[in-house]
Amino acid sequence: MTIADRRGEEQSIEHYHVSEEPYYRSSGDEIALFEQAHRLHLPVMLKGPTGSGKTRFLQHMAHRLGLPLVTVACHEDLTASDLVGRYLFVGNETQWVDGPLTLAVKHGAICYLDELVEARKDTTVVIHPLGDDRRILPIEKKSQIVEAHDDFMLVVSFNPGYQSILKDLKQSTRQRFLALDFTYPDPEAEAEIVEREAGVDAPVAESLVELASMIRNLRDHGLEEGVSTRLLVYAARLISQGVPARRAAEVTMTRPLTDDPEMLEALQALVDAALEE
Amino acid sequence: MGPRAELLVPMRARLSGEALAFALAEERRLERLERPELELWEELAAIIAEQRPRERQGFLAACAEGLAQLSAAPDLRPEVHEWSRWWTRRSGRLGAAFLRLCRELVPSVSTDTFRKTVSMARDLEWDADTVVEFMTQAPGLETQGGLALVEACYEGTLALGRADRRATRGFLEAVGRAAGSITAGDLPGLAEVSARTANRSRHAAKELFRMFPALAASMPVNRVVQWVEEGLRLTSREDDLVLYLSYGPRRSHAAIEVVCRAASLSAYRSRLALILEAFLGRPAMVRNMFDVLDPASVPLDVPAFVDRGAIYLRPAPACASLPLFSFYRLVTLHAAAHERFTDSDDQMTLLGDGGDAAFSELDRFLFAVAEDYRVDSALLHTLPGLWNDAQAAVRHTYADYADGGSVPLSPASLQGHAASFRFGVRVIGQASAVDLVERVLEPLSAPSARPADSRRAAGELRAALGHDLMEFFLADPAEWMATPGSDAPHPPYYDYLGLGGIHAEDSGAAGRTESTDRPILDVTPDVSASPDLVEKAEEHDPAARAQTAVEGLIGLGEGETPGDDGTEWETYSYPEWDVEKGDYRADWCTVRCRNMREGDPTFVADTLARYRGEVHLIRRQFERLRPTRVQRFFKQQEGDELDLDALVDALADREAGAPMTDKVFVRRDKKQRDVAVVFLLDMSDSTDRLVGDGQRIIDVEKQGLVLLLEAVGRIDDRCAVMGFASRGRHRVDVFRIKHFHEHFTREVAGRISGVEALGYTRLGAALRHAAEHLGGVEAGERLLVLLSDGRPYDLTYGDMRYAMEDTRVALSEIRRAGMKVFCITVDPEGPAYLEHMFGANRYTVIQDVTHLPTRLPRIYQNLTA
Repeated sequence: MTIADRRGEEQSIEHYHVSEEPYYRSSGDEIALFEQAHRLHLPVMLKGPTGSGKTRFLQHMAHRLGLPLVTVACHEDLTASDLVGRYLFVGNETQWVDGPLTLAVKHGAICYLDELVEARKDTTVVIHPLGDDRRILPIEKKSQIVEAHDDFMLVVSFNPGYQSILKDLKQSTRQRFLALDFTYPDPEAEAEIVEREAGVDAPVAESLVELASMIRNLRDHGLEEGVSTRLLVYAARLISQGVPARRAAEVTMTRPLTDDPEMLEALQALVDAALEE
Repeated sequence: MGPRAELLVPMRARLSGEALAFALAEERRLERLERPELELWEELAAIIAEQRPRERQGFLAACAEGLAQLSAAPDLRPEVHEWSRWWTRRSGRLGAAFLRLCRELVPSVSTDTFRKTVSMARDLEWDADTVVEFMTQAPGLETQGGLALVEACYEGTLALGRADRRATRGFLEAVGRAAGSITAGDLPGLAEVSARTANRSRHAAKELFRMFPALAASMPVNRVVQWVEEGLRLTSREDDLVLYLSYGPRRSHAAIEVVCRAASLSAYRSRLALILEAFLGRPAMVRNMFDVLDPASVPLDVPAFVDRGAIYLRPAPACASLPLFSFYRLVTLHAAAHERFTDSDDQMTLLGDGGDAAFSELDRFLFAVAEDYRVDSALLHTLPGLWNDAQAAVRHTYADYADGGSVPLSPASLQGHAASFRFGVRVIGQASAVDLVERVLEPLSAPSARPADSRRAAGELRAALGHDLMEFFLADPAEWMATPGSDAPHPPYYDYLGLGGIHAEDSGAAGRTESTDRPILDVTPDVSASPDLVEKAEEHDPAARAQTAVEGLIGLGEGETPGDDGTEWETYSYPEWDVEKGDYRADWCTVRCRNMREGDPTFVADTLARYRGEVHLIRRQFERLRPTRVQRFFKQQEGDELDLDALVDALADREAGAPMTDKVFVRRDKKQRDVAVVFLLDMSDSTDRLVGDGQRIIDVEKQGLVLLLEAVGRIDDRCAVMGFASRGRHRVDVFRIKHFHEHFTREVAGRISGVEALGYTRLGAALRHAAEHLGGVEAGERLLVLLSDGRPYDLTYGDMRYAMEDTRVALSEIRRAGMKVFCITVDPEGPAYLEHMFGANRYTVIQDVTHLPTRLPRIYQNLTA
């Protein structure tokens, strides 16, 4: 959506509906819990390493619940107005434009703040009144308080794997959420996901999953994070398009993970061992 | 007075000095000379009287004896006279050597032989030593091999002399000493390798000549030559060649493995460790087996063994069909596969029925063949990418069998057959019992096969082949296990791996030495120290009293502390958490604190030089981390320029009637990084251990500190460094290495190099003290980083649980005080206990200690990014 679109009309929540059902393979009771949380108006925190299916899960749930999904990728320059909204000039007029959070609050969407920890601390507090039983969003500039739509749901994601001491969520933020843990799926499930998402044969998927689980064993010993299911799917897609398996794995499963030459060589040796030419 | 008195007496009157003394003392020798020789002797004595003492040594005697032989060969007399004068004028040593040659040869050889020998000697005159040596050795060579041998030796010397003149003397001596076991035909080859050796290194040539006589006596000379050629091929460095030669053919292969191939292995070790860890899902060390075992004690067909979770690899020679790293990867993964594809339930099967005698060497062998087969099947099923490597390895290993027709049954051929069948490589010619072996082993390739199936298969093999194989096991294993130089087949690439440890220990084939693990603490009572440690308060606490008594026993007094430089200690008291009582023990520990004694500051300069490349990189990285000189802050109340986005927002707000903000400026400012950090360095004795590259852990840690401080200095983070070591609760010594306010000065450098390993690790007290120090600093973020090499341990620090719980409690105190704590350890077992003490993601393990210096700054960078 371009700026012109935004100026011309109130943003339409319709754009945020998830039209096709995204594939998601459940590995526990997270679907049921999420549905309960939605019913009980509880905010949810999705914890887990990158590429472990947090976003996909949420798309799936949005579709399942029939709710629009408004996603905001948090970054350190994200201000409160970026979330809540601001006045814009339109011609000689000013016009209030809702930010994504307001949009979701008003229309009963799921607002997904991805990597919340990256946002500035003064931005993070905006969600506090939404994250407890008040379920309100004060809009200072309009001197307005918006009560959340009954279907509104606040979801944030958080990757605890970062080893930066200085990046952590405040307890006052954390303790507003129920937390669903996402890890990499177990091998059978992951192979099924890879098979299904990339359209490769089972043996290829199994080899990739075996390779991934070996690479994940190296987490904490040189790798900050293991290879994600997402990267596995990328690898499998390349293979299904005729890229040689080892090369596909190299560009998706080793090079993106690290720049350390020795680690790269070790990873490549694993790739060569796990995949046939 | 003898018959020649009429000649001797007047001669004596003409003589003086040494010659006179000789004439008086050794009259008898001179008496045997004919008149012309006596005159010649006098003449020669006069010639050498002019020469240096070294030249004169022994000349007169040699002269007398050599000339005495001339009476038996009158036709040689004129030329010998002439030559004697000629050689002697050149030097007394040459003259003496010539006359000795006369003494030896004249009576026993034909005049023709003598003339030829002398003329050869004259051709060698470019080097006096060579000529002397040639003339010394020629008689012996002549005796053993006639003139032909002398001539061959001469030719060899000439050839060698063209390569390196200095080597010829040693060559002649070696050949002379080996005269009895050498033929003329051997000499060209020997001279050739000698020349090549000498070209490479004088020391190596010396070593070869030293070894040669004994070797020649025990084996054909052409084998010795082959062995030298191999050494020349295998080694590249001078020292390696010397070592190779000095070990002799029997042990030189093992020796060369140690020196040459160790380098190749160590280049791959850390990569292999990563692969291993990835494959097994646990940290695992990869080590050179010769770091712990004598090379000569490991049979050549053991490429790896597993012991206490570590894999010990034999450094391998290059293999034409397979890159070395691929070979190592294959061997490592094969060894690890035994662990991964064997459940703990299967352990009993592996171990046999309680190790009873019925599980004999033969059973063990057949079981190993079957197990290897099963495990390799599982490995290839999991990692199909290894197929090519495995096939190449098998082809290489059993290359000797390839062209054979029928190969007789032997343990090696059985293994070879199993391997070639497994990997689908037809390298082995028709071996007996092929069908049987394939039929028995085939079911083991099913992924569901377990060790019990292998055992059954081994039983079947034994029933069918046991009788034929038994003889090999009754014989000395060394005879059928391939040994270097024997005609036995090459070592199979795999064998006994899963049973590595067990096999090696039980059979004694590998003389295991204790691997250098954690030093066992040796608590020796120190009677001299009897400090009054009993505190009034403790008298009511029996446990405390008992503990105090123990402390008295083991001596916790003021002793020699390496870091002592006479400065006063500051003392602090800290509580300790008693997990049994569930409560603190108040003022339980005494921390003594002072500056670290300064060591040699060149350590720092050396470190910076050694890691020059890395230092450069780290500096650049950290400079990037430093806040950009002009950070732009948006939406400020005041500043140099307008923030257009903010202004538009504000104006829009005003138009809409909403309150308008005045924060519409951009301010350029220096952003402050507000980080204070304390590095706490574990200086306990265990850091004295040597690591892979021959350095101690403590040295590596110090190097890490140097690079870290260099890096931190770039970003102006406030940073203090402390080291600690303890010896009981009243001597927790904390040494200040760098204060917050100090830059990386010469004093700091000195203190870093002053760090030495001493004492134990009373972690709780040290952490509390460091946190106390850190707590006194105003900073946005306060970070305490522990650099450790193992678990907390101290005298009277209770059991493992007590120490860990105290540490855990100390850490939670620190966190509650608003500080962050992070642990960096070099202990591969770290995760087992650090997770509990520090919590997930609050520690990191550096697998290969030698990487610590370069990893440390990066970890810090990540921590504070």
